[in-house]
Parts: sequence; structure tokens; C-alpha cells
Amino acid sequence: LSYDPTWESLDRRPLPAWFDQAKFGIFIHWGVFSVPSFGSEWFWWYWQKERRPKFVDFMDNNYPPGFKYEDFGVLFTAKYFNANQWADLLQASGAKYVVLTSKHHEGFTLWGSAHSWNWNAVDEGPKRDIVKELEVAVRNRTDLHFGLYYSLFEWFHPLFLEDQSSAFQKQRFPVAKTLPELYELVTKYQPEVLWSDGDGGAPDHYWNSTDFLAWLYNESPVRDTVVTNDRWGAGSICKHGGYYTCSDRYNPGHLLPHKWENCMTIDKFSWGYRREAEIGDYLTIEELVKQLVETVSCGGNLLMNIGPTLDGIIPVIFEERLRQMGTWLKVNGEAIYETHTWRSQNDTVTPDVWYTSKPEKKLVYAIFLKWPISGKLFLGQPIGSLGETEVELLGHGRPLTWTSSKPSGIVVELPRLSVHQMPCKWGWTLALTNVT
Amino acid sequence: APHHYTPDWPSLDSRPLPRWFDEAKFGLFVHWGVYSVPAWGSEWFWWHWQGEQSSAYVRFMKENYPPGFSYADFAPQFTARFFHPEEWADLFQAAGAKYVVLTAKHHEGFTNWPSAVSWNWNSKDVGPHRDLVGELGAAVRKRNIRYGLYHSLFEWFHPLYLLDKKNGLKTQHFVSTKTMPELYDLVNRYKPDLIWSDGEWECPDSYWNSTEFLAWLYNESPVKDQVVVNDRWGQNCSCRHGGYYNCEDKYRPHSLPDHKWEMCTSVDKASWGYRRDMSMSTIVDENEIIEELVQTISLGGNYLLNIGPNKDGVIVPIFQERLLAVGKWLQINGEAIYASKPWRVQSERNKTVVWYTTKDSAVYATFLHWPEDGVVNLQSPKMTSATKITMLGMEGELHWTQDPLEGVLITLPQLPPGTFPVESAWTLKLTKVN
Repeated sequence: LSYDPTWESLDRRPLPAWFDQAKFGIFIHWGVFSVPSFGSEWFWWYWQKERRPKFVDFMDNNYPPGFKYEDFGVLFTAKYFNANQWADLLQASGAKYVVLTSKHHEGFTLWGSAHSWNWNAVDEGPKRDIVKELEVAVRNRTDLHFGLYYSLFEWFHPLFLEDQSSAFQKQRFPVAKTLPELYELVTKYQPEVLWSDGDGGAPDHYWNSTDFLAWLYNESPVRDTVVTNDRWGAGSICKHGGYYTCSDRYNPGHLLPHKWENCMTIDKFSWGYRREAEIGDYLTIEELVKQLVETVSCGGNLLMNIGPTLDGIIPVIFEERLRQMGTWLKVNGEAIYETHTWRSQNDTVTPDVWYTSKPEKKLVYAIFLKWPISGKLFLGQPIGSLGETEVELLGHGRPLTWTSSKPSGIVVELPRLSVHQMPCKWGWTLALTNVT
Repeated sequence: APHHYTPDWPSLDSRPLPRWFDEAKFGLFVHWGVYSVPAWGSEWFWWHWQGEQSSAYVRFMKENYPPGFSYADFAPQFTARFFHPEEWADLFQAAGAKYVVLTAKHHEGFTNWPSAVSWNWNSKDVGPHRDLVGELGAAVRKRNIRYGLYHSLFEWFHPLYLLDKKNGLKTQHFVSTKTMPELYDLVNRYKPDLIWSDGEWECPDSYWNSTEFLAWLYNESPVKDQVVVNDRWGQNCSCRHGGYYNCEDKYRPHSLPDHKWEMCTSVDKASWGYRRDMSMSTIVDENEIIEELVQTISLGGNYLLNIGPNKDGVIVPIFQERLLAVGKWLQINGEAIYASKPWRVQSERNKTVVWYTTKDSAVYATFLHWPEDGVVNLQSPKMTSATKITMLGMEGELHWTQDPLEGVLITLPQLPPGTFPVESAWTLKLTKVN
């Protein structure tokens, strides 16, 4: 197969099978914004462009006059960055892919980009090729696919600003920076997810997106495995791309005709690490499991974000959430990985019940987030067949008793279990065999 | 008539412990200082680096700081820029703590208040430029939480202390110009409800002038009626002399001591001070904290749980989460904890471990694991015809039967998950039992 540099052609490419099967990934936002680590990863923009008082005051109160954002670069030490430790934690989370910010809108690259001289992780700060270290560790130690986030634009790059002032008639920035970096990233690190962002209000033809994607799908070393999102130019979001992100924290609650991803943050208010975040700012494990289940039932992947510190540590609160997800998936992963959507996404009788399926095994999974007080779970959607249908609670190991209910659906008698006998917390799965 | 105490242990030790302390049961310890800046290894950073010259610490400094960088150069980086004492106090209140102990001065000598005898090595002159001790005290007291101050008697590297040691402790320059002035200043200025002494072990109490200070504290100080002190006032004082005993860090007796005691322990098992390089494996989990709390109170102790804020003044979210989990548990089960007393039997083990406390005429049995058959078996309480059993956090009486061999068998309510009053450690309240 060969793809032309048109959306019509590119959008016809089948999504590599691994991506839909993976269901759950970890997003990592890390960069110079992790140094002030205050407010948001959009720190530079809020401070210097929008001049938001909170950020201006923060700088006035904490740094000498004349201090520039670029002065944070040397302070981004990544002193404790240990790619092997990160890889092991990613594996423990049950995620199947990881996406690292190789370059966010500030332009600082986490690899030694020749097009970002002295504003990259090899020349300044860590003095290490962070992307390479993580890539090697993930590929050697885990079964996760390695992906890279890349921002097309840079807030303050003079060439971009020049192009912008020409209403994007000029194309100096993509030619000199964006495209060379994209080709370099793919060739050097072979990412299996290319997570584009930052169209900067410019159309896809300014970014040469279709030409790049044609090369990516036709000739690049990852042409058979690479997955792309939908942020390749103004107006392309939710319309063109391997899968759709639509908006940050997108969670439609219903089926979409196209593969999609819910990218969201554990810290509700920021993608980058924030020193001042309180415990109430972090989603609880109950909320995260709910996000995962709802997303997967509606055919999406969940991409859950963490933000390491300037010295390369994944804060313990993030570590805890990742390990908790892994604990839950150890028991319930069967109902998540490699599943398909079912004819109903959620139950019409009992709230907080979400369905997935494995048609080839005649399996339907009903994931419920609240254990019913009566000890009986009413499922309005599945139709049971006497003598054929079997019901089991994942992690429990013994078949459960069920009865048909009128006018449709089944009632499952859940086992009486003490706290310590529960197979897991935060949500449970019934595996239903031979229901229709 | 108020008693007058003489500066000797038999007299001082005869003072009754102010009642609030035993009733409080649960407190929080806060380790915060210049060691929160390197925030690596432990709060003993300076000693490990320049005292014993541990190779790991020497290498850490060599790799991260320019040659000639001194420990004192860390102080300007102790910014406390996000320190909001009202928010801390809200968290401590939500945690269910009845007292808070802040490190006014740890072994590095840096004082978290504007000490006149610690010029340019205190939180007002350098770093935060704030009176941290004063600000936190005002905030916690506003919430009716008792305020305690940790104070280290010695300082690892103070030249006068080193001189006194060199003189075989025949001189007391350090004590007379630093330790004692600081202690009197802390008491007169902040009126602490508790003085948590430490750093005593190299010298006898006679060098530290401990008994003189304590006599003043108990007789004439502005806090003479309510102040509580621990047992670290000199070599060999630990577990022998003091208002209550710590004995050692993370002390845990096996049976009911005859003296009031406190277990001090930390959420980060590997350090009292904040460490950047913390990981989940060294963080105590919620259930473990609650189990330790229950056990400690049953054995007549107080439970002092430590957290270490970072140099910015942030109590990181994992510590917040642990504190709030304890508070949530105490919201329901605090009746069995606050102002309780040890019962005639402290614990039992059969199908589950049970810890007892008593208050007024009720007996509380807290069991740590929910029995698989839903029946709790208690050997020690003697039932009467008027006995009633309930579970804290739930309504209705529980059904129980008597068995000659097995004791009382209490049928627990059949509860689906999500409806348990707490996630672990449930409390039965027994009235009219013997």
C-alpha cells in the first residue's frame, strides 16, 4: 500500500492493531516548565504573553529582576532521572504504551536536537539524551510501546512569530525546525505513537503535515506500527488522523465511529508537575478506574498523564496512582485489554455498569463500580440462556448464580465476601459467557 | 496548693502529667529545617556529609554543588514560599490530631524562630524571613490543637559545644549561651504545651542543666500548669526521667507500661525530614498507620506521626493523603481513642487481632481484620444480662451469643463493600460488661 499526501488517502490507512488492543497508556509531561513547576506547564505563556498576575507575582517574588525563562534551563537537572526505574513503574501500572513530551510549546527538546542548539537536554540542564534513555529502558524492560509527543509550534520562536505575522504565507519555521525535528525523531527513536500538538492556529498545509504523514506511513522505519493522533493543523482535530483526541479530557460517554483516545491528567489542573498542588487536586483511584472503564467501553483508549519533577523524580502520589491502576488491572485487565465494544456501552437499569466484549470467545464483561447493597446485580442489557450462560466474578474463581428478569436482562447473585476476600477494590468485573 | 518542685529527678518525676496529654492520644510531628533543602538521604544530612563524611553524601555534594559550597549556603534556599500555616492547620485538624510538634531547632542549629542567640542562622534572618514557629503556633491554636516544640539540646558543629566537649564537659559555654537561652525564650515567647527534647545522648543531664530548667518550667514558667515534656534530658534519662517516656524512636512495648509513653514514628519510614527521592516502598500505608495507632493507644501510649514538609513549605500530597485517611478513621472510631484508657486486657488474638480500650463504662474492642465467617470471638469481656454491643459508625445492636469455650460470639452485620464504615480496623462498643 502507498499513501498520497492527502487526507482522503491518509485517513484510509488501517490503524495498527496493537493500539486498539492496548487500551491504556501513560502520558509524561516533562520539560523546563518542571523547574518553576508552578501553576501550569503553560507557565512561560501565562507569564510573558498573557502576563497573568499569579505568574508575574510568582516571578517577582521569587526570582531576581531580569531573570528570563531561559534561565530555568540550567536548573532542569534531571539529576535523579533513572529510566530503568521509570520503565519498571510504567510496567507496574498495567499501561501498554507511554508517550513522552519530546518537545512542548517552549521549544526545549528532551533530545539533542541539532535544530535547537543550547535549548535542549543534551547541551543544557540534564546534558543527557533523555528520549534515548527512556526509549531504551522501555523497550528493554517492558512490553509497552514507546511514543513521543511533539509540539508543532513554539510560543516564542522568532521564525514562527515571523511566519505568523505573514498570516502563515511564509513557511520558514516548519522548514527550518518542525519538519527536520520530526524526521529526526522518527528516524532516531522510532516512536510507535506520534502525538502531535500545537497547531498554533496554522493550517495543516503550513505544517506540511500530509507530506510528512505520507512519508511516515510509506517509507519511515515505523511505517507498519506507528499510530498518529489528530492534531496536525488548525481544523484537523477530531477529523483527520489515525485516531481522534478531539479535546483534552475527551470522554463522550457513547460510541464513536472512529478510534479515539481520552487524554487526561491525574492532577486535574495541570499536565506538568505543580509544587503547590493539594491532595484534593489529584483524581482518586476510584475516579481513575471509572475514567478507564467508561472510556474503554465506548471504544476509546485512556492516556493518563503524570508530571515528573525537575530532578527526574515521579512524585510518590503519582507512583501510588500508577501502582493502584496496575493492581486493579491485574484482576480486571481481561475485561480491558484486547476487548471490543459491545452492543450496549452501559446498563440502562443499574448505573455505573459498563460493558466490553470478546466476541470470538462469546464473552461479555460487565464492569460495575458500586457493589450493590442487596448483593444482587441487576443487568438490564444481557439476555441469558438457561444451560448456556455462565457468570463469573473475575478474581473469584467460582461460577455465580443468575436468573432472568423481565422484560429483559439478568440478575446475578454476587458472592458474600468479606473485605479481605474481595478480589480487588474500586470496581469489579462479571464475565458473562454465552449471553446475547 | 501548687506543689514546688526542686531541681532533682525524684521531685520532678513526682509531678502529675497534665491531663490533656493522655486524653489527646494522637499528635503530629513536623520535621522542617535547612535539611529540607538538599532533601536527600535524611534530616541528618549535614552530619553524614561533614561529620562522619559518608561517601554517599560526599559524592552527592560533589556531583551537585560547586566546590566550597557549605551547608550554610543551603539556608537561603529554605524559602518556605508556599508555607500557609492556616492550610497546614486545617490539614492537621482534618487528620484528627490533638497536638502538633514542630522542630523549632534540630541538630543543625538553625532556628525556625528569630532566636537572638542564633544570629544569621534562623528563619527570620535568612531563608523564609518569617517566624515559622510563631505563625504555625497561632494557626493551630486557633483550631484548639495543642502546640508543642521540638528542641535539640546539642548542635553537631557549634564551636562552643565542640569546645565544651574538648574540655571534658567541665565548661558549659554552649549550654549557658545557647541551649538554655533558647529554651527559656521558646517557653516565654510561644508558651508551648509540650517540649520535645532531643539531642541529649552525648552528655549527662548535669551538663545540660536539665533539672534546673525543668524546675523553673514546672514552678514559675507561664506554662507551668499545662506543659508536658518527654524523657530526653541527658544521657541515660531516656525511659527513666521525664513527664512521659519516648524511650527510643518508634518504641513499641509488648505489654502495658506503668508510665505514660509516646510512640513517635514517620510516614516516610526512611526519614523524618522530607526526601526528594522518596518512593512508595518506604511510605507507610493507611492500614498500617491505623493498626499502629490502635495498638499504641491500647497500651496506654500516645501516637505521634511525623511528616516532613519540603523547602517550599509544601506538605506533599502523599503525606496529605495519609493524614486525611487517619482523620477519616478517627471521625468514626475516635470515640474509642480520645480520652480513653487501657482496659484490664490490652489485646487478644484468635481469628483476628483485637485491641481494647475503655471509657466511662464502655469497653471498646477494635479488630483489625474482618473475620471470614463474619463472627468476632472475644474471650475477655464478661457479659451481663444488660450487655449491649454496637459497632461504631453503624446503627443498631449486634447479636451475640455466649459459648463456654469460645467466649462471646458477636455476629457482625453483613455489609456489601462500599458500605463499611471504614476500610480497616472496626470498633465494637460493649456496654454493661465486666
